[in-house]
Amino acid sequence: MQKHSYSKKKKKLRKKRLRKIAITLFGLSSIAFALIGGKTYWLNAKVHATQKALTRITQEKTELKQQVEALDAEIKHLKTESEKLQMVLWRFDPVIIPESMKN
Amino acid sequence: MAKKNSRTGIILLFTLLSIGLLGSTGWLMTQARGQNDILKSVQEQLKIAQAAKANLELQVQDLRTKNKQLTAQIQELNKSLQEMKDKMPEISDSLQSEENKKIAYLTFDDGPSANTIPILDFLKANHIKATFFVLKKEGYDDIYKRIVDEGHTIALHSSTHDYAQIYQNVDTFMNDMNTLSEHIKKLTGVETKIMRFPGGSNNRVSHRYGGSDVMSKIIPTVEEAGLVYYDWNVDSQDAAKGVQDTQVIINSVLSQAKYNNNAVILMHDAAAKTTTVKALPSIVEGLKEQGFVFEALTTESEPVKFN
Repeated sequence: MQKHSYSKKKKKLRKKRLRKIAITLFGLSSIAFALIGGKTYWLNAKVHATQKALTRITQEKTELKQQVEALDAEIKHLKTESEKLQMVLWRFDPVIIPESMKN
Repeated sequence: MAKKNSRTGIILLFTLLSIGLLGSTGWLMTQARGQNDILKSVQEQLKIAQAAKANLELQVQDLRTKNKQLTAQIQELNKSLQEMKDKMPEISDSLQSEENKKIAYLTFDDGPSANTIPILDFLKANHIKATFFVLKKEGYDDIYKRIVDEGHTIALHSSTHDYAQIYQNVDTFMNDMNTLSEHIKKLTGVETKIMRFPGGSNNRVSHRYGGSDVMSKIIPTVEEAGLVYYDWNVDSQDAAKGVQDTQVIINSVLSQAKYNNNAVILMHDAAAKTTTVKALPSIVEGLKEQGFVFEALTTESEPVKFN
């Protein structure tokens, strides 16, 4: 009689232990899931934000390149104008005789 | 019994849920690793793009400064021009014809020699570029280099100017030119494609040595070799005599140039041509008064050829 009730108790304890293990396992896997899931979410958000910043910078670069082209063209035009004017004024500069020609 | 079954069910449930969560966690870890790699790559690209943007911003700033400087320079030049017009109202008329640009190409044949030095000094002092049709001469390495370094055109005129030697046939002519070309390239690094025939492209002296048709053979060969030849349309007459009179040279150039918008002026800087050197300042002054600007010949210049 005693033997029978002891093995019953043992079975009960074993099941209790198994339940505890299962619950602990569930708890730990939930924590792991939450941590990794959170990290993945954070990484996704960071990638998205960085890509957005990259798109913005690329757009700004394009605009700056256009500005550079426009300024280059303007400077080319101004240089031509300046050379034209210098050429006109140069015509009225006196001719310079170098020392080597004076001998 | 029911209680027993529910306890077993709870254990199974939690176990299955745990397996599910662990599996998902594993999957999320691989996702996270992949996203990490993507993030590193995008951050690298962002860094590079930011650096490029910073460079462009500096470039824009630099260009804006240059723009401002040039605008100020042009304002100053316009101011000087207006002051000049106020002082000399008669110049307004000559300025109106700026649309038809008159170009004078000063060309010097048969150098280099000691005379080339004062000519180069003069051209430098007056910001003028010219063309030197040179011969192959030893002991003048510095002058060949100076011609190129100071922005003038160095061109082929022949190694020897010896008509009897060079005009025998096509081969003797081309060999002579190639020898000179190699000499110039060795000294200056320039492989010039511009040349002038000794005596001009319509010379008759070549008939004595290579026959009356020698020039009609040489000219196509020269052109096939990629050379561009120039004759002249203004002759200074400085070769008509050993030492020509200075005033004759000046008058010849100025009287002929008047009728050309594109004046290719023949002069010589050989050792004997001291009066050419003396005439040069008056020639340039006179040409400036006639409204000429000065340029060196290039392969793109307007052709001036007898043939």
